[in-house]
Amino acid sequence: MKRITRNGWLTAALLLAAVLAPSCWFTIHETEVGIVTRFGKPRGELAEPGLHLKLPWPVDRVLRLDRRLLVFDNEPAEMLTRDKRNILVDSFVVWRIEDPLRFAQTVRTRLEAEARLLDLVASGLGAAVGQEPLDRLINVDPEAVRLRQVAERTAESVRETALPSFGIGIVDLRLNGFNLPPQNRSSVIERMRAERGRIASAFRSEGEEEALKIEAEAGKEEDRLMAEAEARAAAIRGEGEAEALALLAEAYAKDPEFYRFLRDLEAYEKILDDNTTLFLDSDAPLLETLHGR
Amino acid sequence: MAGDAGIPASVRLIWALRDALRRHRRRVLWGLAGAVFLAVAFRGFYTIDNGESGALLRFGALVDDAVAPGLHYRLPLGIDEVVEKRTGEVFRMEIAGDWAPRLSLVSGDENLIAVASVVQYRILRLGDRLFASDDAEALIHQTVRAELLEAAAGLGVDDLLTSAKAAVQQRVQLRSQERLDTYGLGVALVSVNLQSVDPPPEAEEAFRTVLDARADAARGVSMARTRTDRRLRLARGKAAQILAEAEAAADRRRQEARGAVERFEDLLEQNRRSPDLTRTDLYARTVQEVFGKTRLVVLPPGETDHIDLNLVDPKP
Repeated sequence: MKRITRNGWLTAALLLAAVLAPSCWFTIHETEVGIVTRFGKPRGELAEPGLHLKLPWPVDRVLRLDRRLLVFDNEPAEMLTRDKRNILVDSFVVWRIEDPLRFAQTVRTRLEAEARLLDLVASGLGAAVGQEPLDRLINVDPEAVRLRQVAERTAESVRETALPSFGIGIVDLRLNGFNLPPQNRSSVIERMRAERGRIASAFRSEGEEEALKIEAEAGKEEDRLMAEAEARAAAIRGEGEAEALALLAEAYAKDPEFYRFLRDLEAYEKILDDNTTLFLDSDAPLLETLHGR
Repeated sequence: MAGDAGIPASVRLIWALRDALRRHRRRVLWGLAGAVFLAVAFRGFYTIDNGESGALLRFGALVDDAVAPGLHYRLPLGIDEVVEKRTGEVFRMEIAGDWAPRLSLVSGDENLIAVASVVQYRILRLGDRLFASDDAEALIHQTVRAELLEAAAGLGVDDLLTSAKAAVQQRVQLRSQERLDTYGLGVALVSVNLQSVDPPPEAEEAFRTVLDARADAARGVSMARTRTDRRLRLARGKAAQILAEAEAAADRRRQEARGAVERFEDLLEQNRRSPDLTRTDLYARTVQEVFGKTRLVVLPPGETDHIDLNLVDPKP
C-alpha cells in the first residue's frame, strides 16, 4: 500500500512537471515585444525577440504586442478652411506602440487604439485646416502650399495626447486625400469649362495677333529691301555716268575748239527737224556758192 | 521440432522474427531512435530559389535576413523559421483612389483632375521589408499618394496636364523615397509613373477646345510665316533685278562714252591731218542732213529783221 502511494505521488509530480514545463519558456517573434507579468503585475524589462525563461503558469504570464509600424487610414471628412471654404480632407497615420506598458494598461488592442486615433486626428486636423485659407492649401506657387505644415501641426497635437495617455507613438501623419465636396462638383466643373473657353479664345486671338505681327514685320522688311536696292541702283547708275563723263572730258580736253564744233553740228541735227522753217539771209555764207561768188 | 510440421511457413517466419527481436531488443530500440532522429534532422534542409532570398528566424528573432539562393540547413522542430521572398523582382503597384482606380486630386488653381499612376519598387533589405511594418505595401501606397496630392496642390492644371509631368514624377519619387527611408522600410522606389492625367469627363470637351485653339493659332502663325517667306523671297528677287538693271544701264553708259570717245578721237585725228577739209566735210554733211528736213526760206539781205511770222504756215 505504502509503495503504491509513493509511486502515485511520483507519477503525479512527473505529470505536473510535463504540463508546466512548456510554460517555463516562451519565444517573442521579430514583429513583437513581450511584457511578462507576475500575478498580473508587469515586471522587469520588456522581452525582445528570441527565447526567454519565466516561471510557469499561473505565476508568470506573457503579453505580446506588435512592435512594427502600423498604418491607419482615416476616412475623408468635411472641414472648413479659414476663409470658410468646404473641403474634404483625408489622412493616414503611421504609428507604433511606443510605450507597451501604458498601451497594455489603457487600450490593449489595435482596434481600440485606432478608435482613439480617429478621434484625436479628426479634432487635430480640423483645427489645423481651420487656421489656413484655401489658397495656402492649394496654390499654383508650390512655395505657398502649406499642406505639409498642416499635417505636421496635426501630428504634433495628436502626439501630445497619444503618447502620454495611450503609449501610442505618432511616427508620421500625412494627408492622402484633398478634394472639393461632391455637392460642389457641378459648379466647379462649370467654372472649369468657362475658364477653358476663356483660355481657348485667348489662344486664338494671340495667334491672330502673332500672324499680323509677322505680316507687318515682313512688309517692313520688304520695303527696306526695295529702298535699299533702289538706292544702290541709283548709286551704280551715277557711277556709270560719272565714269562716262570722265572719259569724254578727258578726250575732249585734247581739242576743245574742235569739240565745240562737233557739238554744234550735232545740236543742229537734233534741234532742226521737219517742223522747222529756217529763214536764211541770202548773204549767208552757206549760200555763197549759190551766188556764184 | 516434429510438432511444428503442421504449422504454415508464414507463421513460422513471424515466430522467428519475434525471437530475433527478443534477443536484440536493445539494438532494435536504438536503431528506431536513430531513424527517428535522422528523419527529423533531415527535414531541416531547405532550398532558396534563384531570384529569392530568405530571412532566418531563431526562436522568433531575426538572425540572418539575406540567405542566398542554394541549399541550406535550419534547425527543425519550429526552432528556426525561414521566410522567403522574391527579392530580385521589381514589384509594381497602382496608386488608386478611395473608390476608383484613379486618384482624384485638386490642382493649385482649383481644377479637378484624375491621375492614374504606377509605382515600381525593389526590396533592399529583406528584414526591414518583412518586419518593419505590418503592411509595407499600404505604407508605400499611402506615401506616394500623399506626395502626388502635394505635387498637384502646388501646380496649375495646365502644367499638370502637359509640361510638368516628368518633374512631378521625379519629385514624387524623390520625396516618397525620403519618407520611406525615415520609416526604415528597406525598399527602393524604381520609378513613379504618371500614366494618365485627365480632367473630369464632363469638362473634357472644353479642355479639347483649348488644345484645338492652340493648334489653330499655331497653324495661323505658320501660315503667315509661309506667306511672308514667299513675299520676302520675291522682294529679294526684285531687288536683285533692280540692281542688275542698274549695272546694265551703267555699263551701257560707259560703252556709249567709250564709243563717243573713239569716234571723237578718230575725227580729231582726221582733223589734225587735214583740218579744213574735215571741217567743211562735216559741216556740209550736217547742213545737207538738216536742210533736207526743214523748210528753207531765203530772204534778201537785211530782210531777216521784218519777217511776218503769220505768213509762215507751219505745215505745208
